[in-house]
Amino acid sequence: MSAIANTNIVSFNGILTFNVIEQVLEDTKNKLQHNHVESIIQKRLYAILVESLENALKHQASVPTKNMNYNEVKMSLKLYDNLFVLSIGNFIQNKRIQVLTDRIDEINRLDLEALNNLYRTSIANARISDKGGAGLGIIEIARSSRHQIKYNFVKEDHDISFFTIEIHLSKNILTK
Amino acid sequence: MTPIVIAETTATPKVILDYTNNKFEIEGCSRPEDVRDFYLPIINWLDLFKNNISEEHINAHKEDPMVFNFKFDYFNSSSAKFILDILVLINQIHTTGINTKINWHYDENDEDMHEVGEELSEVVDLPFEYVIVPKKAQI
Repeated sequence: MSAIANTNIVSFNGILTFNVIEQVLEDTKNKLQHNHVESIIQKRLYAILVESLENALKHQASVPTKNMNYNEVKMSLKLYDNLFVLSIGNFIQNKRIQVLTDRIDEINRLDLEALNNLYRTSIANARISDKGGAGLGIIEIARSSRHQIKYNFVKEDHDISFFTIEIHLSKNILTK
Repeated sequence: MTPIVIAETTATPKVILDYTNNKFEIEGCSRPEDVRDFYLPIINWLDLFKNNISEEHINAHKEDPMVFNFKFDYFNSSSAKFILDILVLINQIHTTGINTKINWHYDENDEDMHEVGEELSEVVDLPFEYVIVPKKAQI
């Protein structure tokens, strides 16, 4: 049994910055290498982490509030037996929830071949947003994960919710 | 043209665009803090080159192609858009009559990087040569 089975690999609560992301990636990389996780799985996990952390970084400050706690991001990466589970959450405006969940539901309905087709058409038509995103991140997460993306949201008040997505990745190579 | 030489960091690749020495290379990991700031000088360099191609350039590369080497360990999704833009410009340089070649290098453990190369080649409609790099394992 791996020395990191059923354990926390990395976690973070607070305000994300580019430097925090660097540190999380470095810590994760070291732990995975130390525990001899297959290199293709390390790379897929790295891709999932980058896309989800950068997504949280772009959107963490989009809640117009004086309450600084609403800018906090909570993330954790754990390994349960043979499944990596990344949970990452941030506050969002309730009016954005429908668009976000529709997008995730749409991605979850696609198999790997359909995701690959969507990636090709999306990259050809992508425009970089003011926040630096190309709209490809969630497709990349789904392609790397090869599992359904789970989500939930907890309402804080009539404007704000805490939105969490959970991404799974098998520790052993698997094709969808 | 003045060459572009950018040193590698943990978040950005090494870049060399050097016409005099026929060396065109991007190597490493790409997840810049500001993807636009990082890639725009590269896009602008290729665009300027494309707009100033002469018969002399075309003749100079009849036997000796302009070889573009892509050696990514990883790139994020917003970098992918700019990499596609770079490939589109290389394709445009190619269609002006300059002999070009794209080498897409990937770690022998990283079939995903091979597949993404095939996807980009298909999207931009430009053939790549694939170069397998012996085991590296590090991200």
